Amino acid sequence: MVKFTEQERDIVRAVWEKVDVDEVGPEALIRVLITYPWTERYFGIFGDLFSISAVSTNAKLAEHGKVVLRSLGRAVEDMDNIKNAYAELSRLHCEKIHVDPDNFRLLADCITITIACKLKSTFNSNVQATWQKFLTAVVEAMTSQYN
Amino acid sequence: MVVWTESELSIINSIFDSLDYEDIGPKALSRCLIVYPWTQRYFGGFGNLYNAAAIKSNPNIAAHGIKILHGLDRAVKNMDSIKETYAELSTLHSEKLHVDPDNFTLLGNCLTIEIAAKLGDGFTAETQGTFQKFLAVVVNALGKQYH
Repeated sequence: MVKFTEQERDIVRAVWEKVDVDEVGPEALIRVLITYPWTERYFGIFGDLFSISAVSTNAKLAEHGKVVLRSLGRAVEDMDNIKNAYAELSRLHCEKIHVDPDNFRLLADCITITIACKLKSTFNSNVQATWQKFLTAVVEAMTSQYN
Repeated sequence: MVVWTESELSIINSIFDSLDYEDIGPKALSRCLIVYPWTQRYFGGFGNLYNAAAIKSNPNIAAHGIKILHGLDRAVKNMDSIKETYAELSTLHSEKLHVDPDNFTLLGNCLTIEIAAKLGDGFTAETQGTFQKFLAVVVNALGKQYH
């Protein structure tokens, strides 16, 4: 099981407090679809995603970005229980949505980059190291129910 | 062969024009050594790397970070022949320095985060996509001469 020190918990919570879920969520997801275009295949029913401006202004995509990032809050609140917290979501992404789990890492990277853009110099290397450790645990939990 | 659009060339040039290599180089390399601590093994001869503060103030690391950014500049100036530009560097990193090529991606990640932190919202999704394409080409070229 992943162990977090008190200091690491404080860092993760401090980052999360500065995150506006309704802003960072959509932005991170938009970054994923633009930087890694194959991920658009998972959002076929969301409508027009055929250009950078279409992706950036798609309302359904933005809404989904908020849903995804809100769920990250669950891991922040329960850092000792991340694997259990995401077991059901993991099964859903495997059995119903059929998402290649490599894509979780790509989304994690884009969330990190979005946060770096917002927090700028306060997102220093110590903060980044801790935040990435946290996201790695989340990605692992999301992959854990795949067979 | 990699093909660059006018827009992509312009984005890459504009990013590098905005960078102070003497500032970003050291920051990106220190970040890499702190966030991915196993990379410190390549810098054993550089002196004190025992903690984040030591790494950030190590003059040998700083000098090497600047060198790396100038190395990237060569790719920016030769976007249509990055593979040839880096053939010798690739051979050096494989045969003399014995660097695991996965680490090139990690350094690329840290440089991306430094640039994101510096440009803030100016590091748009489109800019990120183009920059990551550039880094992928650079990383690929650096790994090319490994057998």
